[in-house]
Amino acid sequence: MKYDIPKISKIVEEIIDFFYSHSSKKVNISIEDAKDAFIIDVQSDNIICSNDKVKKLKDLLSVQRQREMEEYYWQLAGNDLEGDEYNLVGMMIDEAYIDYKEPSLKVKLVRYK
Amino acid sequence: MPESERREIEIKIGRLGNLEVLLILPSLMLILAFLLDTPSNIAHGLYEMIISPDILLTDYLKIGGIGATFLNASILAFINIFIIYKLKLKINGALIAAVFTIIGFSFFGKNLFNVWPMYLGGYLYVKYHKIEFKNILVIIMFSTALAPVTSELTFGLDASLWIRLPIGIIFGIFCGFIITPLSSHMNRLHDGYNLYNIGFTAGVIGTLINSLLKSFGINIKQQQILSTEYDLFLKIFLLAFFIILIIIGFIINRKSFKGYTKILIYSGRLVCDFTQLVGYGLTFINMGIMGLVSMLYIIILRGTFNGPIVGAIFTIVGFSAFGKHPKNTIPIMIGVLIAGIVSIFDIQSTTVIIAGLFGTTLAPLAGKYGFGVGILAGFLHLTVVMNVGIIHGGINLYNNGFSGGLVASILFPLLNSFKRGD
Repeated sequence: MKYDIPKISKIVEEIIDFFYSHSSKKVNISIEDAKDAFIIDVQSDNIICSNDKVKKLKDLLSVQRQREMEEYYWQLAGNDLEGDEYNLVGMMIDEAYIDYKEPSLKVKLVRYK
Repeated sequence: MPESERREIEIKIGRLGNLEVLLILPSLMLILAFLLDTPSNIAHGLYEMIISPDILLTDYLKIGGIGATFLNASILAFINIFIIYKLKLKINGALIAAVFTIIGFSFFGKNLFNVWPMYLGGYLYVKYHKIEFKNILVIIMFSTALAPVTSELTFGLDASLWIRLPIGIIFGIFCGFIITPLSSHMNRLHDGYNLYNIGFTAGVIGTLINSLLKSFGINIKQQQILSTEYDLFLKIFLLAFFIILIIIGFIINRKSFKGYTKILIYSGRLVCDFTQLVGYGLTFINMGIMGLVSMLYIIILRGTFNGPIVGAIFTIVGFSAFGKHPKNTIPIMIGVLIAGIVSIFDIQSTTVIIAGLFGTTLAPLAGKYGFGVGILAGFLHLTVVMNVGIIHGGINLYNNGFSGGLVASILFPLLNSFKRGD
């Protein structure tokens, strides 16, 4: 799909915002261009974040993928200076897995091609 | 909101249930059209609406009568809802906003003839890029802001119909073809703080087209054709519909208003889809409440309910599923009102009243930066919107979205630069 790579960059940017706005000092990022999907893994071992905030992030990332929204609004992802609106990322991905064992957070996002 | 949590809070009515809620308004208008007017009057009214240039402000209630206007709005709504149904799209805040915006502007500018070239342009765009039409449906529905381009060229040029008609349609197709990449890019200028982003985009395209036409000696004259005779009826009709919306929302939300205040914490900045964030029940309640707030604003100003004002109210109601709520819109309305009082403009005129309503395109600024900034944004909005119409000659129906884009593009970076912290 057109603009796939810029869209992946925007998604990653938004997720990194979450980690750094919760006091992460080191964030590991892996992006795989697999046959059917892009798989994004973001992980940090020293995040300071409440369970409620992680739950909210999970809720927002778990909304159904909406291609009609993505086409129109994808350029807004990663632009919010306060980085607190993740539902747009949720609309741009198909699956979200979040594993939080304080102080370690792993976020895995799958975006099918 | 996850599905399991949603089911605890509200009754699940499903995609078809939500479509049925969207069908209520066009169904009511369809029935009322034939109760209020004769079929021959309606047919004549539709014809008059189609052959009018449709540039701002052309009140279809004045040109075609209430029967034809209601039928025009209901048919356009039915067709768009049918497209949503056929494309199997989940009903979200943006689609609700798009449907209500189309219904609203079917009272002053969009008709059964002039909107379709934009859809054809969108179809050609998806074929060119080999993507699905549903990917751009929201954009194309909003892009009908430029419907007057087709009407103005088809019925406003001094040439044979066989020359005017293809020119009007080709320009409309061109607008539909280019608006998708442009609108996506324009979001970055205001960073999501102007809800009517297509209005901003259409303003830029409209400026280009108007300049082109002027360069060839074709001058578009703005006009003000406004009705006064349906004031009381429209008040009763709108009041009844908004109460119905609140009741539907109340029932879906398990016969409760519980959780409504959660809506008020959202800034409204794009993309703020209330159907996903708080559920459908509270979204419909918010839409009904915002309809009543808008009506109250007009009544306080002693304005007359006419086509453009009804259009503005329906647009607000639609966007109350996609970012607007009382807390982030009322400051904007107050700002526009203050500007109207201290400036040279007549606060009871339709243009100033609809500026107060459409000015809520800037609601995210009030939602993010507070009441004072909301008032400032509203104040600036009125001064800008009263002067930008001439640039595009009125062929962009979302003139307030154009103005809102300019104001947000200036205010947003300034507000951030003066903010303390990182």
